[in-house]
Amino acid sequence: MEHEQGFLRRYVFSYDHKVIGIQYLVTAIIMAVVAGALAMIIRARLAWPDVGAKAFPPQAYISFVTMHGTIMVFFVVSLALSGLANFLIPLQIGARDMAYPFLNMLSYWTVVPACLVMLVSFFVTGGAAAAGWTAYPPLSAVKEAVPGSALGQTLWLLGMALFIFSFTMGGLNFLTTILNLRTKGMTMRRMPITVWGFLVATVLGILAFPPLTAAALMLLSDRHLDTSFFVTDMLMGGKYRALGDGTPLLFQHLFWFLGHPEVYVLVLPCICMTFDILPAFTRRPIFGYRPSVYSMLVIGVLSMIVWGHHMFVTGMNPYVGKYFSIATVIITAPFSVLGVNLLASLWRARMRFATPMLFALAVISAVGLGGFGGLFLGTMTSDIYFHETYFVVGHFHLMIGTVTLLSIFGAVYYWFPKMFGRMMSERLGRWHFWLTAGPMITIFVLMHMQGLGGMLRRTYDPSLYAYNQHNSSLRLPITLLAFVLFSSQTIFVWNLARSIFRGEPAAANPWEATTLEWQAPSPPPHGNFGAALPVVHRFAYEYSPGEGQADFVPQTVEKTA
Amino acid sequence: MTADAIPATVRAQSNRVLLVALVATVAMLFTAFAAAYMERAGARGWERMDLPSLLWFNTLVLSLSSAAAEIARRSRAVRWALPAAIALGILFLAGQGFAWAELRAQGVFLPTSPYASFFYLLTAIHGVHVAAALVALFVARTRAPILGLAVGFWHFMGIVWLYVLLILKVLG
Repeated sequence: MEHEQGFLRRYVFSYDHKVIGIQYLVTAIIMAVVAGALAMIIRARLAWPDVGAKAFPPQAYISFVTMHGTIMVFFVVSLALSGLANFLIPLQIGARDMAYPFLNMLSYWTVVPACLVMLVSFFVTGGAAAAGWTAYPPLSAVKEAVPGSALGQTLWLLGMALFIFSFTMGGLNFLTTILNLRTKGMTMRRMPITVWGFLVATVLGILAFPPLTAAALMLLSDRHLDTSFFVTDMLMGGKYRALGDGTPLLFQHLFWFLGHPEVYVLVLPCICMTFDILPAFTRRPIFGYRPSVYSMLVIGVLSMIVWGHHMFVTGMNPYVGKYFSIATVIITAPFSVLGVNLLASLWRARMRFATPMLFALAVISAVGLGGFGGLFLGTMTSDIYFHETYFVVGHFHLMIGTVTLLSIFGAVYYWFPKMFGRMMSERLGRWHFWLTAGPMITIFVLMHMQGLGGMLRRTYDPSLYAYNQHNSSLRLPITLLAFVLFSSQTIFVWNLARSIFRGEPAAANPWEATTLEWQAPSPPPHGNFGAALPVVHRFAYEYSPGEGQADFVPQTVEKTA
Repeated sequence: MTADAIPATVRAQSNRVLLVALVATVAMLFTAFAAAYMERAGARGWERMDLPSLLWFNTLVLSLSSAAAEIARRSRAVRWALPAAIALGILFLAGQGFAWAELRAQGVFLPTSPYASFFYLLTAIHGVHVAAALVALFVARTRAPILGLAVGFWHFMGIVWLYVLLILKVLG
């Protein structure tokens, strides 16, 4: 089983799912530094408009907002989740690797050029794309609309195309691996819930991304081949431009057909990883495994038919709006099942407050807060008031920013010993936790408050509008908290770098957990499980099974009569 | 440990799952185009035009290619079947090219009308997928385990072509 491999094959163009997983995670961290720095520029511009006006023009602001959103959604959270999925799926189901290791390597090496294209686009004439991460036409379709609509937008589309291609290849691999490579005894109902999360997310991604591909192709054709799928005759800079009879709204429909399921592609695996972390620190099985899995399946189906709630203010037919409202509010039911099950998993727990557990607890808070705000945005009547305000910014940052990043941090602290065979520093971990979860949740809750007051979003200086001038007291505090949040990530990076080389050596099962990855050595060798694959005999979360028995029973332990 | 360590039966099973997933994702792509087409057909300035009758000949070529590929899948003893399927597939792509040339000669280009835009775009995207499927068939000549996968996807390309024709000829 041991191969002599060169450096390139072992660490660069590796087929090993564990190496590819870590490559994805490192790439996500690099992109997070860029996207985080953009957020700091955005916040500085908002807090000190006079200084900001001298530093860069208003067009640059919207370009930074666009790239911050694009990079965070697709190149930080998505990539980090791809990394964790790559690392965890084979280990948790008892496989030696992915079903198609070559395809796996290819999918990573397709996303690297995607990242580079996105980064390069900052330095071309006109700067990076400036049509929002949603790339609505006509801003994204007419090359002369704003500076970022020129080459920057073309590169944005190219980067997204590469990303979608990579994501699809990765998704095909996750799906086939989960369905076909489970070890003996690992039935679907015995799978760790994280694997379920990745399964549902993958299926959603495979079905929801193609419409965005179609939209992107039509947009490219409008931009470069003079068609008029999305562009329409309009006044631009005081001049009449005959561009055809296209329908800009069509793009929004196609975009949000992906955009909404994408939320669940990101959030479901994160909630599931939190579920997976909890029992090791509560010493209790997770609450409601099956209802949670069924709820995720229901959420998966519903998430594909509610996209219109992102478009209430486009003047859609009120009956259509009413349908989208009702369907959206129905999602609340299965989603609440997940939230309540997370909370109930703490019932009668003997908690161990290690860093992964702290992050898991913060995720539960963020799920509650974020989900609550969603009710007001899913309801058409209140959304029409909130839509152009910071209420929306606060809401989606809580869900696809805070829930995802906090659970990814928790997952990294939790599985780090398995990745590198060493523990991360608890002391640094705690500092990192309080300086991350605290500011993060506070910032986005405060943004809800700003939104309630009517603070306009997407604007480089909201005080330009008289009705926003009374609403400026929170701007500076939010910016200062954002600076604390960003700078405290250096603790995390330092902890990672230090622990990889100098961390305390980790045992195979440092958290005393039950799932299969902890039965493999830390770090697992090539092929993961030595000569024979493990055989599964029981459910994934057998903690404190009863009086007089062991505190936890790994999945590989045979049942006794 | 390489992929070869996976037992042949498991490998065949995951190839089937891979095929289903590939079909699902490509089907969603063309469904999205169909939705866009329907939406556009209901809006201002929609006008249909006659399509080259060469397309019917191309349809026949693609069906024959599918049949040949199926013969190859059922029996590896029929050695002419797979090369014939590939040759007919290339002929189909050439035929689509000639159909484009015919429209071009009539002065119909991509931006000429929304209908023409959809025609060129749909045939182009289908053509790209057909080309990829042809590469898969070509690779499958020497790699028996992926023959089922490649032929399955090839049949799906035929079905997508009928779907494209249905959209362009019947809907809107």
